[in-house]
Amino acid sequence: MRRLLAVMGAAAALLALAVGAAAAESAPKPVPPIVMISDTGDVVRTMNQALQEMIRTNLGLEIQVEYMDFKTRLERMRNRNFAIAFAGWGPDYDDPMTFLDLFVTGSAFNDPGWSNARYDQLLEMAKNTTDQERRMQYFVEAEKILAQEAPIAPIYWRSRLSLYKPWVKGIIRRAVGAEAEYKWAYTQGRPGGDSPMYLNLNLGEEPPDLDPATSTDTVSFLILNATLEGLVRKGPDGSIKPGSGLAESWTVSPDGRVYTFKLRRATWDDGTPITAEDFVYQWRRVIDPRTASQYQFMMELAGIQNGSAIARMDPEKDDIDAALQTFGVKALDERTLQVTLEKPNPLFLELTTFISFLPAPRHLVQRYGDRYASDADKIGASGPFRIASWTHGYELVLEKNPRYWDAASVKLQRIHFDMIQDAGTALQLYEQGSLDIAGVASRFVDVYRNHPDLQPPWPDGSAFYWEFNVDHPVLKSAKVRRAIALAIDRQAFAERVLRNGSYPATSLVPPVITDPARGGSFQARVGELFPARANVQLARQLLREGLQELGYEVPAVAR
Amino acid sequence: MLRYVARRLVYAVVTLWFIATLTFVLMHLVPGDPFSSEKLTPQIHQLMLKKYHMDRPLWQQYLTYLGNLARGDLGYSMRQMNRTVADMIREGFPVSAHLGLQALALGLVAGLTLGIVAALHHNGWPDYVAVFLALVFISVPNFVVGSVAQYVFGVRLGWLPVARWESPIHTILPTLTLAVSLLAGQTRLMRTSVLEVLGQDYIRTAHAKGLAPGEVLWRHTLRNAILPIVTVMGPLTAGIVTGTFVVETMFGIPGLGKYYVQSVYNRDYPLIMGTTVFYSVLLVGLNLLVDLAYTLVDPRIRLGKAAD
Repeated sequence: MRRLLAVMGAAAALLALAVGAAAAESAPKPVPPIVMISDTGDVVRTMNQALQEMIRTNLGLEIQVEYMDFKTRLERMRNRNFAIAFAGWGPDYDDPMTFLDLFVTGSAFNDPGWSNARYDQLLEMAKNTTDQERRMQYFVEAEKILAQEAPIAPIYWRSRLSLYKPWVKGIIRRAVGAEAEYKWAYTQGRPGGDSPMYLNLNLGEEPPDLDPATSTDTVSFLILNATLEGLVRKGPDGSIKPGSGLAESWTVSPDGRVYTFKLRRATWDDGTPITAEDFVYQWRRVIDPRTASQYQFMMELAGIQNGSAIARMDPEKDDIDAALQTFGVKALDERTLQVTLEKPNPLFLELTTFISFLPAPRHLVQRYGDRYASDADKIGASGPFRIASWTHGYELVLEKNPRYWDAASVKLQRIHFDMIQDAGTALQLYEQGSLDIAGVASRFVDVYRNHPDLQPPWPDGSAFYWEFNVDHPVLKSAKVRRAIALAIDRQAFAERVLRNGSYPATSLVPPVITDPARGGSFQARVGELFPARANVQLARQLLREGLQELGYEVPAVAR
Repeated sequence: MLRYVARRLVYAVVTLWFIATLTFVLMHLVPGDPFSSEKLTPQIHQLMLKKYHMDRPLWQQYLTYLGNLARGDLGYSMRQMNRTVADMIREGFPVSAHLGLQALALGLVAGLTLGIVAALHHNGWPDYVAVFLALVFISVPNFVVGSVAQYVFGVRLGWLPVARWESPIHTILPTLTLAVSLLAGQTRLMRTSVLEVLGQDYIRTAHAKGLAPGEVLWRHTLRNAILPIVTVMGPLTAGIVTGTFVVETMFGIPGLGKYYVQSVYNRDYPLIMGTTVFYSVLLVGLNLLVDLAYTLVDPRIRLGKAAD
């Protein structure tokens, strides 16, 4: 009897399994949870709630948010432990490549894990031509693939708001490189007089690293750009001209590979002459794996001869010192610098304006070693300003560098930087009159909306987007990803949630990136690939198709 | 007494070792490391780990750390490159201690006075006022008190600087902001304590044997009522002289407080360890002092006697 029961039980179980399998084939599975990872913060929370609501209303999908601190999110992104990640990227140089190469196969930053052969091919072709018109066409096609396959959903291109006292003039803000250029800044009509001319500004925090070989952050970049001079300094209009920096002039070989720079006669602020050897020393430091410079890749991107080979060397096994001798940067004499590229590179001059290419004073770096740039008396200057005093975590004072080659153009005698972290305090100092510029953080936007000193929104160059993990059971469908991307009302989000002049991101590369072939913005050539307004109908149709193909339940609103 | 102190010092070293070890383990359990950042490639990441010897097994790093710690070497910050943790503490601590002690003195004097007055007028109007003030100041967070003070006294009236740390005038608003919450706690503690002592038999006896009311208050009431305050003084002082994140950030004060928060956010391992160990040393040291102070305040306590 007992045996019979056991047999019957086994048969019943088998039957149940069979029925279950059949049911699984016909009845769709419920959509598994979609978890978005995000940084914490009041403003971010509001942003996420708005986006969750758009997806809920337009697609009937529930997106859960898991909040964590920045470095935890980063770790989760790099380990691809997420369904959706709220991410952002800022440009390192003025070219669409600085955004588009994030998503090539095998990129360290390709968190979605997406791969598209044609996309990879387009970017490779762009790297191998100097014809800017063709490069831009490749990039446009790449953007279109990105939009079609939607491993990401661009959401907004960030702008920031700030208040300027009416006497503040001539500060140039840049979306690429140092955020502000003070060389041509001046004041006009400051109560109490414009002589001596000075500015009181807020850095927001201690500059973490003022060694240009290893520096990576925007705060340090501001100070480095003000105190160091490179081969060229971008003009107020963003132009790159001979004579604008330490290079008086240059020649390019007919094959476009060899640049020979004639350096002007100039000195460090301590009177030591600036030589071609300073450049060689600095550029070698950046490419040297022992320096472990995060921006080593910029040096590689420049395509300087043997750069990539040296960058890949193992400090423990390879003779790096010998290899550095073969690096394509040579001092022909004290004032002649020769750079040999592996192949012609239309970005080369643009890249030399980047912080990592600015020479630090070799004699001081050698003298202080690891302690270089740790204090005001252990740092040198070659730019418009020099560090007069530096109280860590409190204030940093720049004064005009009397030995700067173009000192005649520098009108400011002094820039006093506070390191006030609290955005509210900075605004109170602005109101009290002891700061000349203050940023308006999102939570203060309503208070200052009609303030007479409010400047037009400044697009800072960063793009913010959702990344979709293409291994997620549902997000592996390009149709589902595209559906979510279409269900976001970017314009409403920018206007009603962000309210700081940020733009709805209708493609990845933000409008601040220029189009060297046509002039103007690269984005103008791309057009609207992700709609500014949600396209609910198409989104629902794609979601329905995508989920049905995968065998998942379609939410009621999309049926 | 000396034996007691010696034994306590041994305990202190063990406690510090335990705290350092626990912090070391915990901080390595948190995802990310000092170098993780948006634009870091795995290749450079490996190079950086190697450069800072963080590619070695954790137990080796731990032993190295303990060895350095024993020699008093706290290492270099990994966020503010090229600066030593010792320098950062050396520069920040005096500022935090200045602000903290000023606020502590003010908060303590005002709080104790208010607490005593409230207790002596139990259920009278001074009591209600004191309790009400204490309740308000405990409920309203620092940053609200601070920004209202900045706005009213700095921006509106223009009497005091909004922020920065330059002259005694600059210390007024942050000291008040910090003192206010201290005051509230001390008022409540002292009030309760005095009320309890007032109900004791020996107070009735003192009154009965005809001592002057002032004498009863000073010699019998306050001396006994102050004991709980002495008890909390150790941790309270250690906490406040090592800086408070909110008040220091808000008033742009270059103290230690921000490092306790930022070091964790940045995974600045040496700074996390340095600030934690520094705080622990202060805490353990002050608690020892408090225990010694008991013998002065309360003759019933004889240190070490029971155990000897």
